Amino acid sequence: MSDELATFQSTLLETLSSQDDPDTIKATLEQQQLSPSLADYVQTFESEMVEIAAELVKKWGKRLSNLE
Amino acid sequence: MFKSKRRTPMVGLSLMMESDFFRAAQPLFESGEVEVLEWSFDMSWGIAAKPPWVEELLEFYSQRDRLIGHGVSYSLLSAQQDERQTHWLKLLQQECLDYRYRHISEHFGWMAAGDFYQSAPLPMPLTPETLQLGRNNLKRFSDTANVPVGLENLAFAFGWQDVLQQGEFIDRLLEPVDGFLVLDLHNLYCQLHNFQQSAEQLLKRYPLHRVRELHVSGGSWSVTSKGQQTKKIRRDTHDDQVPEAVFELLAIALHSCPNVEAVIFERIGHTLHTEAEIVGFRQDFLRMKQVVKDSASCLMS
Repeated sequence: MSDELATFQSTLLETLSSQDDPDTIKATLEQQQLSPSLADYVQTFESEMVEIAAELVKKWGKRLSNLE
Repeated sequence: MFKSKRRTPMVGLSLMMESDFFRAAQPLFESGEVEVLEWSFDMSWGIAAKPPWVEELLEFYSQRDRLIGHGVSYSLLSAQQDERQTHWLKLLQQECLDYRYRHISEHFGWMAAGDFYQSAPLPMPLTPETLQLGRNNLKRFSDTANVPVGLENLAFAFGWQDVLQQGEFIDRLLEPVDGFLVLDLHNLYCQLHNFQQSAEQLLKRYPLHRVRELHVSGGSWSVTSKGQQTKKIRRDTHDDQVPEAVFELLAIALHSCPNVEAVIFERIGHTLHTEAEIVGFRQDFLRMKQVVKDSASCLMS
């Protein structure tokens, strides 16, 4: 399960960092093979807050690959 | 650990390394108004050397047992098991040898995954798996810190579920280590506004007996738009004066939380350049102190 959580978290950050439109972000997440609890969780995301999260991750996100 | 014995909480500042912060805060330090100092120690781990005045303040408060630690980048609910958290804990161990901390806190949520070693603090849903993950990581944090440890509530929520679950999630994470809650009142204000809750309703969801520290700060507004609809979102940016509503929340929290030891004012550096900004910063701090004093007098009488 922690592998699934890790994949979900990684996908979430990658999607938030590369997309702007909340509907596209949610659709991308919904296309993943998520467990019922994570799929239900994504359904609770409000568009305005997804937009804010995307802005935050673009602003504060730091990548390991940029350190190398 | 959490016996109800009311004392007047200490009032202090979150220490920033920027010179404008020091210029604004210096008179408060020199007049002895700052009774306790909070230090986000991991923000200095990547830099060559801390400014000398920062070192002096840390030594001063550490020697008097008035220094409290507040980590930012541990990423408690990160599911990826890698060297990042282990390395973070090694640095924390050294930090605790360098300075004496009364207690140390971190943030609820996660900010690292995959290629990202840092981002913004984000929530996770409360499930048996996420609870166990958080408890395991909090236990490692507690074992390393060797002082009481706590967690701060997040401002950000993806939706209602995050808002309604956060208090219970934090309580259940803290239970095994008998940890404390850092109740950030501006973070609470963000959720009150963004999800139209009442303070009374939302506070009831938090383990108020575990609150050992309160945070007070200001923030900013964002407007999001979708088609013709716009929505005003409160943001936790720590870059402006404290709103009236947060001072009101402070009075409510002091009345509702029997074990508060410290009340900390947070304002980031690079935001204190004009005379008005500097005066506003000092006024906010002194008003916060007055609210604490008034609340203590009221409770004692």
